[in-house]
Amino acid sequence: MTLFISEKNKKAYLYRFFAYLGITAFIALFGFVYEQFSHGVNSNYMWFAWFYPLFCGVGVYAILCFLPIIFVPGVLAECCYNLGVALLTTRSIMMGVLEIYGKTNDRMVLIYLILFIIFITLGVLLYAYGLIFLRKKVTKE
Amino acid sequence: MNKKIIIPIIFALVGTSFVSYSFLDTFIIPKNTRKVNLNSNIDDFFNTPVSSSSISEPPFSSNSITPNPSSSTISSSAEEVKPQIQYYEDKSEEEINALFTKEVVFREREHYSSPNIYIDITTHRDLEDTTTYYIADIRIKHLKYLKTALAKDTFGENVVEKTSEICKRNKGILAINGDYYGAQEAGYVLRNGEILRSTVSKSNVGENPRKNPEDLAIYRDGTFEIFNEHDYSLEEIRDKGAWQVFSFGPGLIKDGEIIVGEKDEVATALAGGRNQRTTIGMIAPLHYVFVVNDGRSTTDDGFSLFEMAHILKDLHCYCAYNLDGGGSSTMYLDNGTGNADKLAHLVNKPSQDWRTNSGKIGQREISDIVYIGEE
Repeated sequence: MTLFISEKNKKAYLYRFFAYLGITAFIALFGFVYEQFSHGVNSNYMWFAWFYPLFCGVGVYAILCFLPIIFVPGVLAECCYNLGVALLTTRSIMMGVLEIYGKTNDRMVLIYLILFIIFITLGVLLYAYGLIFLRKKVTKE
Repeated sequence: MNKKIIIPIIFALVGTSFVSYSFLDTFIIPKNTRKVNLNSNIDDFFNTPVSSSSISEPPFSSNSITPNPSSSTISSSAEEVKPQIQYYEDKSEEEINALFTKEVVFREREHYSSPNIYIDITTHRDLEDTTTYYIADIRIKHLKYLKTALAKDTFGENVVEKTSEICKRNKGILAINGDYYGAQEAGYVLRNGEILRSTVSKSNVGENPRKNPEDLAIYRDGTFEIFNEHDYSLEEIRDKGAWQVFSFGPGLIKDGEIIVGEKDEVATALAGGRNQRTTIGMIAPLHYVFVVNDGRSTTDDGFSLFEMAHILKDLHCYCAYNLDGGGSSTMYLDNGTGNADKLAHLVNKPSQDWRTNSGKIGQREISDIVYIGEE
């Protein structure tokens, strides 16, 4: 195992898959409840914030878990990617809160987007680097 | 501990810290603040003449209307009265003058009169018995009595204070919440003749609440105008003699006609939704109304913008504008001394959360107020 890639432990990945399913359900429930108390103010960002953990979390972990992939992201690459997904989801919730409250914070919304791109890209690049240069090392271990 | 545990913990801490900061930055931490004394330049403002070019190009429509066949153009002490517009007036000059008393009279928790100010507040219930609303009929001898004030006398984002507290500090008599400029990063803000923010409203997230930003200008002659921020710079509006500019909207009545649609709403609220509203209307220069309604409770549904526009139209408003509503909607009556006595009270029932169903009433802390005050 390296920080960038590791050999797949299917049980651990199944756990992550279900964790993201739970997070998706929680975000959907949170958005639904929040909208119930928003006094008729509607925000699609709040309604559909669950899409990001579903697509980037459940979807991606389903591929890693159920497809015959030997090498999966290492702990650092995985943390970068998960933080990126978390930032994207939180950004959507925050934009929903801003819309419902009638407030603006363009600077922070932009910072979220930049950080999301940085961390997602970093996660993917670290994983790709590991796949290209560190496979032999992991296999030897 | 091995790196499989430490690294995720570090990432979780960094992520949580950033998210916490972002919400604090949005809702709590004051930004771009500066102390402002809005009352210091009032006399200067009214003593400085408007440039002749501004007078020759009146900011409002030249179309003359006659809202009521019995209307007559009133003579007022406004510095400029456009003769081509006939405003509604059901009282003679003598009757109007009789409304202003030699001494200050403050009675029955709903009436105030003095040599310069006349305020009469009435409570109503709509015909369908769904909502209570409050009409403050206001006549003033000079526009300097229609003023605005900022929370904590400070301009900036996330600087907030209750309407009643701002009113008391400024020795106001009647106050309503303003446009909550501090919730937006852009949008024109001009108060008591002073430019505080001149950036045009822009898109922030998703459906831009102010894609077509309609502002309200109150000019030194006491007239109102609804204009689009994309059509004028704030400097142009100021040069035309603007005393106040509010950026919330939408406009409800322009040139005596309702301009808001049945399904129109502020921001991303559900079309035609019923809510608390705070509105300001001009019946004639120096004759105004503040109208506020209750909502979000088991006894009050609130009004749609269209319903509120009809109420203002029935009051013969020539121009009317929607200010911040919902939980911000507040009307507060004080005695104008800064030392609130038992007559000082909230006129409406401001509420800002779902618990109002159990009768909870509380003012929201806001950025600014519009108020009537002697000093």
